[in-house]
Amino acid sequence: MKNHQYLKDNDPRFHWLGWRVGVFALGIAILIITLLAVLAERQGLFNAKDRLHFVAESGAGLTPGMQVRLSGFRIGVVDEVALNEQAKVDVELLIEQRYMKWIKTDSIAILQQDGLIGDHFIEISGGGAKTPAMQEGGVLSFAPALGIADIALDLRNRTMPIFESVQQTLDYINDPKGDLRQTVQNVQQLTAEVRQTREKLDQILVHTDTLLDGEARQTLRSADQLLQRADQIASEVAQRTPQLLTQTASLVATANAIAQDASATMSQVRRVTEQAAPQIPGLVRNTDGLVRRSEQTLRAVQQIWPLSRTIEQAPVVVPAPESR
Amino acid sequence: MNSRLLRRMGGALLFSVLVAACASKPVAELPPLRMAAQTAHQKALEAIRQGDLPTAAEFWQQALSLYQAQDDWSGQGAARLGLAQIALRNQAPTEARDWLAPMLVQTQFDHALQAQAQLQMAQSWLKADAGVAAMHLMAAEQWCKSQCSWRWAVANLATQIALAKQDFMRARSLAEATLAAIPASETAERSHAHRLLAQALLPSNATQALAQIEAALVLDRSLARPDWLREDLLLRLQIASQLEQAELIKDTQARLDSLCAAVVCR
Repeated sequence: MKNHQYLKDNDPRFHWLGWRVGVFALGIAILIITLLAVLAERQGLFNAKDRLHFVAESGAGLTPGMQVRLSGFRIGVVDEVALNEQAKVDVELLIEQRYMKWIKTDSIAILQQDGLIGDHFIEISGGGAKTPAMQEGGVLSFAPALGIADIALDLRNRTMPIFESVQQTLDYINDPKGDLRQTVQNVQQLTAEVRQTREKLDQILVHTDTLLDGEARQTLRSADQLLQRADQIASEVAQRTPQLLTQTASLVATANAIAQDASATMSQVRRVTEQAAPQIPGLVRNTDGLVRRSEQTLRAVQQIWPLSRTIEQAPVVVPAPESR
Repeated sequence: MNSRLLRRMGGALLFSVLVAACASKPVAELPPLRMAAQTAHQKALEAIRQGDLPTAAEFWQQALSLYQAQDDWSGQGAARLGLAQIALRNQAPTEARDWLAPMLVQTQFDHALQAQAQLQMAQSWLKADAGVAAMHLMAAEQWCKSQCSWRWAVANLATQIALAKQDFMRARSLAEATLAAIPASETAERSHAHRLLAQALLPSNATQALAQIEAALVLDRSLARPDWLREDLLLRLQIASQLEQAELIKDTQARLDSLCAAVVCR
């Protein structure tokens, strides 16, 4: 029968076994704690922090834990996002004290996003060099970042009233039954009548010496009537002219207001374009890269079985000539 | 029992699919420049197929630059031929010649490409000088022999040159010979041969010319090429006028008007 060799309690390998396991576990625990401490230090948990505050109209994109950045560097986190009594959003920020000197009382907190589909973060920007630094508990101004769709909508909202106003004014001017066209027509008519009256008077004066006495009287009566008529016309013109001038003045004022609106909009457009311009090359580059990667991915997918059997890759060939 | 069997079969099937998938060929990754050139090349061919000439020209230009950057003369040749074809379709023969001229003198382009360049050069000279066109066509034939896929284009171009020289008898015999030999799969060249035969027959026998142009129209309708259909209808109008068939004139004019309402008729 075979004798088995069992380990015995007094085997030298079991000496101080409890201590050895303890030391090993302690070593692991120290390693984990050190690792956690390093991570916490990196996350800035041991740095002294100051609390800042701002109020946003909407909580969209704002979440506790999101980064707060200054010139691209992480300087703190969003601690709390809560709805207040006015149905607005109170946002509490925790900022590391060492960075507080760069946050001024006129600094602005802007909601930004990494790339097109990246995480949101709060960017602190602005602030004059001579403006005092913000103290603990200070309140920042908040500006939600405008997306391309928001910018387009904003521009549309600003320009549409101008176009409508221009359209209405043109409609008003072109309306054949409108006050302006009617007044101009009336004035033209009255002017023509005055001209006719004057021509008749001239004719009468020329022929006065050849007229007989009776005819002269009749002619004078007729001339008197004509003069009365001319007087009426002149008074009518005098009545209507201020009205026309008033309407013209209001038209000029409207045109002026439209021009001012257009000028303001153009400056807004210019400002938005200037802000967006530095981002455009990056966006185009990103899009280009995205398209290239999509093509690579599609090409790779097409080569995976069983797609490689079903989708035939068109060969790169010389374009076939046609005789016509 | 059955469900267990089915489950086993399903498992076996899944396993075999996974094994087959893993056994597929590893994807050979192309250098980015090569991939970009091939993509532009494919897109240019696709744009030509769809009749989108401006887009095709853009992609050919891109492909040409990319092939030049890689010292790839076959690719460059293909791009130049593509650009010349677009120029010809845009009625710009001088531009086509500019694209093709380097291909005739630079030995880096292979013979097949140079032969095709000679053919397209002949096309570019057809309206300006039929003699020069004939010279280039001869050079194309010399290089190409019978193995070229575009030998029917050569045959039709020879007929066109005969027509340009007002040699209707020769044009007729060439077109008839082409139609007798060309396979049915070569629809585009076959329809062109019918059209050329109609042109050759028109001075002597308008009735036979009408039959030929009808055959060309049937094929061109199947190819759905508005520019070719327009050419066919214009010739049909000419034949109808010669035959003094009022109904045919009316019908052809109506078809032309309908076509030109949909596409730009130059």
